[in-house]
Amino acid sequence: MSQHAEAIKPPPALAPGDRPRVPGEPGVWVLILSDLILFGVFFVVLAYYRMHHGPEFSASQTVLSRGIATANTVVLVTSGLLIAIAVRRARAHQDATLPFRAGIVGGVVFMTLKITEYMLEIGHGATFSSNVFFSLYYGYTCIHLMHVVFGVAVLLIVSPSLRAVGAGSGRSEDLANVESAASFWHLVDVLWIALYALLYLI
Amino acid sequence: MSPRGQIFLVLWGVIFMALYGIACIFVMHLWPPPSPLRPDDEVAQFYLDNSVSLRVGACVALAVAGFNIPIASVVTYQMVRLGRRVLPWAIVHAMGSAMMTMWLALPPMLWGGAAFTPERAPALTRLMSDFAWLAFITSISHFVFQACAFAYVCLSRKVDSPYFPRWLGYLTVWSFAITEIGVFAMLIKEGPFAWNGLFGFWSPVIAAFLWWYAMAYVFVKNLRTEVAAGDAGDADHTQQAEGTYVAAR
Repeated sequence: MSQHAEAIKPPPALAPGDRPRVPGEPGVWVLILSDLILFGVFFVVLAYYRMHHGPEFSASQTVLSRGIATANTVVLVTSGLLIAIAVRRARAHQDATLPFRAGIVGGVVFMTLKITEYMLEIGHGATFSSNVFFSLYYGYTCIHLMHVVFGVAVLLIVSPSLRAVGAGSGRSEDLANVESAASFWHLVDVLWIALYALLYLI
Repeated sequence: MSPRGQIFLVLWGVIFMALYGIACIFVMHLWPPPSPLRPDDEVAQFYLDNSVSLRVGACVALAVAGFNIPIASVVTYQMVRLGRRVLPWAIVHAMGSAMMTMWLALPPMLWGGAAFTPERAPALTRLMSDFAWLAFITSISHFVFQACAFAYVCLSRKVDSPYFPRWLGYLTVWSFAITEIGVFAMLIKEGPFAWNGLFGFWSPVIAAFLWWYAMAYVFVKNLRTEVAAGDAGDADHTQQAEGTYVAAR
């Protein structure tokens, strides 16, 4: 087996008698699933208003910075990948600090690009109260941005737990903390992909 | 206070919360909210046509607007039971809950006030009506402290108490986030973020009521267990219900 393949091993399969478990803890999935439902409602509302304000939506979309949004998508997806690699390394009791920190930096880069994009769009006269499209655009992306801020904060808070798990000295709650934070981060990722497609591409 | 007394307080708050909703929906006919885009004359006509029911409903709503206080007092007491380390969070929770009551009482007072002399200039009635709605929908400044304190105690690894389960902490975070979205109603008069919109009114109100009732359910369930343990002389169970704060974790 190659050195690279040995470096990142999948988690061990369940032994007979082991109970399957969800990543992190069950409670965080209450938050994740309820957030998915909330954003699902966001998307249905967007579709409803698009049906009734089609030309306005199309004209307003031309003001958005598709280039920055595309860059942000690459940044966030890469960040999610790095966090996933970090969690896998930690589970294998390896040093996961570098990919974890890089993932967090990705979140900060996303915030910076998003705020830059807002400033450009406001400079073009597009504000929250300009029309229905922009109220939905700013509302949804601001709420998502708050999720990014919260996600970065939580990733920073669980960094000591990640180091403990990687060093093999972590308790079960350390692994639960890390997996919960990573699961939330992947939620943030998934939500952005949907927002990007609905607000910028369609 | 005895567990039975605490059950009484929680149910008192729950019943008053239901009465608040009933007053706003069926007596004052204010929920669901009207559009922010209504002209002055239309707003003034509504208050003129419904002057009596608005004032009666305002009386009821004002009488019961403090529903958060008895519920929050029981929650705060259970936080205090956890020990000195949780005391600052209990204080934050108590203060946030008490201050938040102001924003539940002010809107009915303004709605009733607008209906008190509805013959006045329509623009003045419109002003009071706008103020009432914005006070109700966009007042997020104090609930945040009650919600954050509660969520922290639930999610803290150092707390082990049946009154503060972790899933309720996550539900609190989600409900609080949804209610905060209501502040966007200050910026727009139509669409889902307006004070009559899906995200300005419906989601925050539903999320807030859902959270209050979930919290009430958890507390009443555990208080009943304490009552039963106390009646049976089960000291161990009573001790377990008190919860612990483990600083070493």
